[in-house]
Amino acid sequence: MKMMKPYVWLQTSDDSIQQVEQEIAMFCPLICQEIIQKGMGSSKNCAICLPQQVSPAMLSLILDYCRFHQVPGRSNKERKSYDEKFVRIDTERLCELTSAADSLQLKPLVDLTSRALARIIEGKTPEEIRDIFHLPDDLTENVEVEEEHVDDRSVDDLLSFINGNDGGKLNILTILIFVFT
Amino acid sequence: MKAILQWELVIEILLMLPVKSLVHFKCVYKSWLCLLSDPHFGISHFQRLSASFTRLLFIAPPSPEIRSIDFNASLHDDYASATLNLNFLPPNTHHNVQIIVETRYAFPQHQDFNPLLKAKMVFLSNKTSLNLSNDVRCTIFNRKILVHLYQTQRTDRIANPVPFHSKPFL
Repeated sequence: MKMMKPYVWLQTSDDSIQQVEQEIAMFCPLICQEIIQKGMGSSKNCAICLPQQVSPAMLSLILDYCRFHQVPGRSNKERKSYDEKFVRIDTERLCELTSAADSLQLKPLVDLTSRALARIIEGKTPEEIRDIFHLPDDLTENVEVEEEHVDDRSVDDLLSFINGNDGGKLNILTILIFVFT
Repeated sequence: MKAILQWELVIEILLMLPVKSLVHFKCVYKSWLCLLSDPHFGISHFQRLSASFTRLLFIAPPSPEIRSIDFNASLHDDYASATLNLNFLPPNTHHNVQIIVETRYAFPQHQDFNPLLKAKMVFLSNKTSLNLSNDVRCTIFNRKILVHLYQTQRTDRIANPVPFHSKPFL
């Protein structure tokens, strides 16, 4: 008889149920817990109910990621270049993916997508940021006063750091000059 | 479906950004303003930043200007490269100083590589030192660069190290 790969049943946010290789699904800590601690996922009737953030499209992306990384013997370079390509998707999907990976507690993927998002938003205007994160503009009027106040304080902090008042506590480049007379 | 990121994830992402972006982003949203003005956030951000800290001193011999460069920062970041004021050094020492890099790990192959860095570089690991000339010696100690300035004819030494002033290089 042919050896069957163990499978696990997963239910995504649209209530559809699918079968995926257990080995790969176990990469997600949340799914792993459900299988090991609660004995879920062994049949269609007791499919593991995934969090609301995990749509079928996101699940498929996440499983692709897990499938690639669970193969042993890949070099760091291969993994890095896969990761780089993996996050080249539009920003909306990247947000969705971050959220889905987070709900499955898949930390490496959360780190990867968060870093990608950080790179995307780094040079954007506040207006563009609101678009990306679907935020309303709720403080246009007060902003200038607030900003000025806060910036003053941070410059003081910075000066006190540069002058060495915080000394050894702060672990950043400091150049000390010893002058011999 | 509109993906709305959870607050914890938004914080994680903001912690990865350079200070310059964070200053702009205070006016994005009220809760962002509160977060970004919170000293605890500042401390976390600072710790995150210093944990992955790699910076390079760049001294181009013909010009007296000395720059401090963060080659992991993006090229859009104004503080990625900042001029350091080393006016207290005697005029000719600049020409003898080359480039000192402090790096925690093997030199990264960075994509956004700063074109300035094509110049000759000297890499130092922690607690090593290098004589750049007869007058200047650089030592890396506890992730600080100590620049020692020797004037062989003079033997007295001013007791306290002089704090180094520069533009903010955060």
